[in-house]
Amino acid sequence: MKKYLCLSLVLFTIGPAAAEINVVATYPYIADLVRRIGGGAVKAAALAPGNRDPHSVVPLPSYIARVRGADLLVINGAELEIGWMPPIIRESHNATVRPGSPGFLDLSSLAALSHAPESVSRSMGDVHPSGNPHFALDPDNVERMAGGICERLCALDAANCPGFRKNLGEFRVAWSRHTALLKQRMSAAKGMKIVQYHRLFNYFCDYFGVRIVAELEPLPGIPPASGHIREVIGIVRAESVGVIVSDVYHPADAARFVAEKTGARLVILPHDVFATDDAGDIFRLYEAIVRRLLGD
Amino acid sequence: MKITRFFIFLIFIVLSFVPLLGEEEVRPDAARAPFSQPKFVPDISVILDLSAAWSNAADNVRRGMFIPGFTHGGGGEGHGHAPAGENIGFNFNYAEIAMFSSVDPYLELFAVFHFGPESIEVEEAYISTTALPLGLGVKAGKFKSRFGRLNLLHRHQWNFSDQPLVHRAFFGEEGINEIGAQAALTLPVPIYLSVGAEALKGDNEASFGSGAFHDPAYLYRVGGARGPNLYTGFVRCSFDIGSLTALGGGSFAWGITRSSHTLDEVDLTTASAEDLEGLGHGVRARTWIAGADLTVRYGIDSYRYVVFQTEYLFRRMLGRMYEYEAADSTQRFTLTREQSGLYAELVAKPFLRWRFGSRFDLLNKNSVAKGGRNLNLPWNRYRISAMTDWLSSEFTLLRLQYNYDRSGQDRFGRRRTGHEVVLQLNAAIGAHGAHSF
Repeated sequence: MKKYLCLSLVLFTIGPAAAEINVVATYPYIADLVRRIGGGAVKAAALAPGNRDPHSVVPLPSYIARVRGADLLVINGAELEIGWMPPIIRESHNATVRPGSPGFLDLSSLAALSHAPESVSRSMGDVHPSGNPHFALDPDNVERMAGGICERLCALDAANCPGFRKNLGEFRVAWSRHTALLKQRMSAAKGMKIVQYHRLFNYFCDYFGVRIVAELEPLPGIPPASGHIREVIGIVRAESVGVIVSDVYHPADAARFVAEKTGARLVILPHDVFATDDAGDIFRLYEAIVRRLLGD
Repeated sequence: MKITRFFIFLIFIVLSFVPLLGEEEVRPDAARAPFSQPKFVPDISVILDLSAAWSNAADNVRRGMFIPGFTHGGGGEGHGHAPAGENIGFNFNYAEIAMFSSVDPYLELFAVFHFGPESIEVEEAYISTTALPLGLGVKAGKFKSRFGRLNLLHRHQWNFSDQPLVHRAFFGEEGINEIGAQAALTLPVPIYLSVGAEALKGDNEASFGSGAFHDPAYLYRVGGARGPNLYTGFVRCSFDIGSLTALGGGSFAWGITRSSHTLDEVDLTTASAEDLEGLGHGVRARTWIAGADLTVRYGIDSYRYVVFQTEYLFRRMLGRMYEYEAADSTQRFTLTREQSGLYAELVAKPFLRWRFGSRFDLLNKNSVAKGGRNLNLPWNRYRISAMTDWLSSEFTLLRLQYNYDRSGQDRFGRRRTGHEVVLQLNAAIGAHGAHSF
């Protein structure tokens, strides 16, 4: 009797791992990429909701339970998760996904980061020493990350590796076609100037040739004060900025105020998959940003 | 001619430094400090806590306040764990230095040094495992027990500037913060379910204690505890329904109680009439405390939320009390305490930088029998608090709290109403602290 109990316990604990790779991602765009590469051989889900501030996610205890059962944990990295992920990893006591092990993947190690400050101090607001962490909005980084995810899945599940590589190949073709089309559409708005709330769309704008003139936040993570808003209004008028960009999680009052004062168009952009209803996957996320920016 | 030659020489000198400069940019430390290890410095943060307080009673009166059957007079324990509004006027509450790093691939070390106004102590210092199978985590060292909800949290994570009455009464100012070992297991089920147990030294004087003692007359000698004398067990469970998160738990602590206070340890300026009777007293007992807690949080968006938190604790102490009547006489009684209390707090963050909260504290049950005789101590002592937080960033907190305190009586045994206002400032620098839920 005892023997059967032990056996069933062992089966209970190792059983699910053998079937498919259980991937836990910190943000929805990561889960979407993993699903595209992993196909039916993986089960991927994101912890944080797509429509919340990625910097200040609440470390819910249920996340501990999910990381506890993960075979692979994929994070954005570049300190974006620093305020909520460390206790989740620590308390899950899952040696498989500890940083440094094959079950842990930091996407910032694959992506090309820019806008790294030369020096850091908290007096500069919420700065990230290794660069702007919102690099997933650079199409080239998406491709790099997809490649890295494929390599990692292959390392964990060699039997399904040919399938992963095939999925990656298909994704690359579709992705480059998609971004080329978007680039073509964005060329209509070449030289477009925008003001954004947070340094969230820098990679996107760098890639698609949009110029960011100012941020509504005086410093990253510090909400706008009236003096700074007056300054921004001056810049918007002087530079004849056409679009004021806000994200889905910050209050849009400041952006709306500047837009109304200057006659610029207020645009709410999704920053992650599921940030808005029309951003249900990585393709539609980029599509939604382009469509909203162009005002189509 | 000479000048031209000088310039050529100068250019030559400057150029000869160029490759060196280039190399220095690549490896700035390696050449000058080959054994320097800046990357191995642990994550360090410093937390500073200051306050200014006002009360309707003078400091010496407040220090003499006690809750019959629950707390003694005599004021704070003097090591920087007193409530933020301990003294009228400015208070330096504490400065904390927290350090964290991996020890090796299998262990992590976490230490917090607590600097009080007149003391330095190791608040926590423990090693925890990272690589055990099946979600098992083991901790050893000095750490805050996982008993209940609030005990594990550091003071700067609390929603109010002081402890709930029931925690203060049952666990003292430091809570259950003991030397020992803990094993906790997160179970492989779809919801968060964690179980664990701890074996602790049990120095906590409010309910436990381990030291041997004797009465001044040497009539009774009570042996101390051998080995760990406080054991705890806990179950915690959490699940989400949309934006609503519920976290609940049940905890149990069981241990040996040893405490002895002689009159020469009592501060005569604040001692109550009760404290001054005879020469002091000692307690030898077995005690268990059971706790149940529930936290429900509703997240409105990234920055706004409402959270309700409550905890109920019940204590049963069975043993003997020794009353040191005079130098040559000590009376021994049986002692039974059945006491309980709870707190419930509701905190809302309706704006990016503002938080509002209220708390209700109650010590509802207070059955204490000495020598089989019920002492008829007062029940249902309570306190009501309200607070407002202003957060200039996630690293600073400015808090204004008001307490309407009907829990205590002064050293002459008169019940008094306390009005307290505390303005608390808390700031953190260094490594970004990430807190659990």
